[in-house]
Amino acid sequence: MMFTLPRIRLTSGKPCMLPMAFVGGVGVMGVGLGSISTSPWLVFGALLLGGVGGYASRYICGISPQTVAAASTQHEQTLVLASLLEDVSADLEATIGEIINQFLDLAAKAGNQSELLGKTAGAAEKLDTGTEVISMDEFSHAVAEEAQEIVSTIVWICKSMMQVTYQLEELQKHTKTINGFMEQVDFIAKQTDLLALNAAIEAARAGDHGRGFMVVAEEVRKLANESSRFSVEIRREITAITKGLDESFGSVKEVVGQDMNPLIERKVKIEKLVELLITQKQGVLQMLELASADVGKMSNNIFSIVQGLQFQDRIKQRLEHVIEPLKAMAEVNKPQKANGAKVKATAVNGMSESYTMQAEREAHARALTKAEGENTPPEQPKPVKHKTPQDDMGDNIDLF
Amino acid sequence: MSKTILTVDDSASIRQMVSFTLKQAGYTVVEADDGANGLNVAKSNGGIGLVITDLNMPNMNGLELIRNLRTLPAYKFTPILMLTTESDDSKKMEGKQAGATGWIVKPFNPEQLLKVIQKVMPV
Repeated sequence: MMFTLPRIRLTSGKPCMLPMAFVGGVGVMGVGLGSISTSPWLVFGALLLGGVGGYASRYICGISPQTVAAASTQHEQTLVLASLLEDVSADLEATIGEIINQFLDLAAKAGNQSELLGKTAGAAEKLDTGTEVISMDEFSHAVAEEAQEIVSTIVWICKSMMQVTYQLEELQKHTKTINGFMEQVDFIAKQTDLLALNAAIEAARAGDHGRGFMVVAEEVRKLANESSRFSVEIRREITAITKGLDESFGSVKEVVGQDMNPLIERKVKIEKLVELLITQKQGVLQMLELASADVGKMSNNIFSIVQGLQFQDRIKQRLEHVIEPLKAMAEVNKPQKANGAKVKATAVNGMSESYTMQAEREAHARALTKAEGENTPPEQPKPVKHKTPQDDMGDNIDLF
Repeated sequence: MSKTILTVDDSASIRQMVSFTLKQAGYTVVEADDGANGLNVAKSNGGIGLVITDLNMPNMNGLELIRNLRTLPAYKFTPILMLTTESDDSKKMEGKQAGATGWIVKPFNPEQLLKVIQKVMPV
């Protein structure tokens, strides 16, 4: 039942609202079909009301009842309606397709964002030191241990320095003792020189007999002078050592005299800063995790919206099932058609054969009943479906 | 079993949704907008592991597509799922007789679709 129908485009295609009375179906049919009041036409009007409804109201912008009425014959009016419905279907499909594209893009981007946020949160939880990846807890413990180690080492150094000061003090005492001994050595050398001089004088008095002794006295004097000279050298060296010891003692005392409390306070401060850093990082981590979860939910929500847009496929089919009979009716309404009434009835009754949804068949039956003024027949009990192990997928799924 | 799935539907929005759902789950998806094109794609692509097809389509409907696919040795045992707005039992019976593996009534739930696919095409 296919007709070549000129595409009558009366709209700009832009959505706008029309009075619902017109688009709702009855109004359209009232104006469009004029005096036709037989049951099949009412059926058709009711179907339009149920099938097209609000979607048409958004898409048949600018199409007034007058426009439809302006067509000169019922044949033309029916063709206009069929064309309009085709436009509605095409616009709906194009628009929904675009919306789905955008939503799917949005859902994909939201999914990527969620993944990135998750990765960022994961990265924030760990610290890459270059040789290993450690957790923030491990980092905190490591910093605290290092700080403790530094403080302990410094305290140990200070203790050792104290020991050094005691030893330097002992050395200073020894150098003073040695200085005292060197004075004794000087005294002995001078006394020896004096004794040798006296011995030389006495040897001179003894004449030839004392000549040998003179030589001995002279040698003793030389030794005394050598001792005196060495004593001066030794004292000079000892003085230098004493000076060095004094300077070392001063330096060490300066180190040992340092107050350890600021160092310990700094260690505590470092530990607190690390703790604060970890707390803040955990806060950021929680926010990242929350953001990741939210964006993930957003992606799911967007996808749910897209799922909801599947209605377009159903609407498209329902519109097609109205358009085809409309075209048939247009054919019937050609003036030269003799057996119009018969074909008209066949067209409407034949609509149900083209249906692809149970909902359509039920709507058709209800409309027929209403049009013929009969009571709605009692609803037939639905056949009980016996569950098979394959039925756990859902009510809308059958596996053969 | 190949992870490539052919989806045949004259509704672009349904094809988009099926493709998106399957791609998200890691499948490779090829599309066709009616039965005739679906058959051509199936013939030219030997690696298809599952076919999802609509029932009512121009040029060649879903039942004809299934019957044609079942004559091809490569698709004799390939799982074929109908994804359609039709829920009439007699139509389902026709689908079963034509060689369909399962019948899903639109609108579909992506999770359900993936469950069914995992059942009929275990990895």
